[in-house]
Amino acid sequence: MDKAAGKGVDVRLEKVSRRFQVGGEAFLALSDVSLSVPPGVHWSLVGPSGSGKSTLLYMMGLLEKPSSGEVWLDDRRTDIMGTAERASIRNQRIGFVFQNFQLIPRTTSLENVEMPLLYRKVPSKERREKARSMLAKVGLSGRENHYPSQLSGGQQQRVAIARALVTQPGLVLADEPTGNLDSASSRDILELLEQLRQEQHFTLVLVTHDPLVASRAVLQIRMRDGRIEGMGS
Amino acid sequence: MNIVGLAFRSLVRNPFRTILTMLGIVIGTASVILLVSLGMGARHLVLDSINNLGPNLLVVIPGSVTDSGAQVGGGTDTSLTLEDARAIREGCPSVLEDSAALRTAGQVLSGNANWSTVILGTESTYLAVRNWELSRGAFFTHRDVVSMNRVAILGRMVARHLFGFTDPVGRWIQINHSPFRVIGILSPKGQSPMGMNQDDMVVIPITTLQTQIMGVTYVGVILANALSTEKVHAASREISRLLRIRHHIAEDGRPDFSVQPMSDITRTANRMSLILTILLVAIASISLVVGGIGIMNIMLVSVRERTREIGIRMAIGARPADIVTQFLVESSVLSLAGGLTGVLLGTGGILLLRETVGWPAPYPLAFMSGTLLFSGCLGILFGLYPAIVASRLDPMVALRYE
Repeated sequence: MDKAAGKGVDVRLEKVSRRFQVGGEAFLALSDVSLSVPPGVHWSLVGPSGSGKSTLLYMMGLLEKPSSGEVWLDDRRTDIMGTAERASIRNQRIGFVFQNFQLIPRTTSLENVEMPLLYRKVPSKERREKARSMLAKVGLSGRENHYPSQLSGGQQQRVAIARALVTQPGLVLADEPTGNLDSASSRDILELLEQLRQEQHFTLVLVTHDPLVASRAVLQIRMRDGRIEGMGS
Repeated sequence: MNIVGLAFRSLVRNPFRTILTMLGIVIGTASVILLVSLGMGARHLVLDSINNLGPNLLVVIPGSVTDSGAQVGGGTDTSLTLEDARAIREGCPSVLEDSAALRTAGQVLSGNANWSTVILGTESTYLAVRNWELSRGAFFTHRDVVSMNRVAILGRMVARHLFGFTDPVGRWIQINHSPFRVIGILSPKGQSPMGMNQDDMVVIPITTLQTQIMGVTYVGVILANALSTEKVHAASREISRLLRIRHHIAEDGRPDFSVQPMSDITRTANRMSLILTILLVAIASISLVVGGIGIMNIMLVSVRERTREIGIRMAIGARPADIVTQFLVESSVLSLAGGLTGVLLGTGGILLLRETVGWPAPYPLAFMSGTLLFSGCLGILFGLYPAIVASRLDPMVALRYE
């Protein structure tokens, strides 16, 4: 898999539906979505809340399983794989950036960034070096031993980005990454993501409801009621 | 930071809870080790004191025993006499010598000092049969027994209480208001197998005790020495045959006496103390298992508290096996640390027993490592369910858990 590192991931969804059971009532979060995301591009996923954009994002990230349809990643059908194999693909090819950062509390920045490498069985010395240089890339040199609670929101999101990118993923999925940040930090984070994308050539899919954020993407997918309403640039 | 380091870190984060969780295992392990050592010490003590009577010794007591070795009315019957003892001496070729004995409680006086003790009446062969010696003076003779003389041998403790550090030999004492001349002092012997202090005793001729103090004709016990260890069972058969004839008991009748080789008593005592030890350990093991359940409880709470962390780990590529390993290592570290502390605590307890009470408690090294291993297994056993619960979480649900 490592030979694929640094290259964008080819994601393809075929007639994907996702039903949720909420209080005995079935709710269709995704309805027959077919989509092909070519590698190495910056996409944004927009739409009102409840339109299914997050579900679609996590479907691409192999955290959600389709109720029907097929999810292909790099020409491998992932929806029929077992939990362990999907976890391995997530580890090797996908990085996540969440709205609320999702750093592990009481664990230092460096350890948070090292964590994906731990599950890859990278030796500890190499792990530390990679994590350290990744933290430097996101501008957090000298904050290696800070705990999440000692960092500002923007800094926490930088740690999260470092954690997502330390494995050189081909696909980075960001769910409202600036949703909890002030406008200055938001701009910094988006610029950082774009800059890193150009260096590492990953595919970036970014969920947002901020049109300004969405406009930075090369391509836009607009969602409504679990369907793709339109695509454009 | 590796998987084991991860476990340590999460335990250190919550020191108070970690210590409380470990406490069950600590107490369980410590009590198992302490009780095993205690039991081994008790066994050692009992066997030692029995063996100190001599491996060739046979004990003939009145009353019968059942097949299982339980006594029926033992010691209270009056079926044995001095004549029985003499007959055994003369009619059993495998018996080297024997000595009848009878005991009662008595008040011993010397001047202003007085002391309640055991009065043992016996024959002149007693010291040889018991493999005992005098530290001073001489034992009474066969003639003293025949003539019912009032002579006494003092146990060391009685001599100390009545005469302090002056030499009692040749002095007079009163036993139940009759004057006796002290002719010897027994060498110190310590506790008997039945838990009596054998130094707290006055020995007088058995005939004197029977006629002048108790007014009876029976004897309490006949101690016999076989010619050799190999002859013990032959001697036992000879004594039984002889006493059956003397007491007019048919071949199939229930005898009114019983003959017990000391080696058999040793075996019984050995088995009894082993059973006791096993029982104690079983009880202590229950507390170990309860400690294990405590670990499971805390691990379940921990899984719930760290649901989001589990979700994050799954999102960045932890497989179910990785999550299981993380929590299993944590619960094993918990129980092993508890086990180790317990072993140290138990060892401290053993040391205390040895130093303060003088109990011959050994350090059961094999058992200690076994207990440690067992506590480790408990950690895995009781950690397994919480670990599996953690690994089965849906990552999306876990990530959104508040």
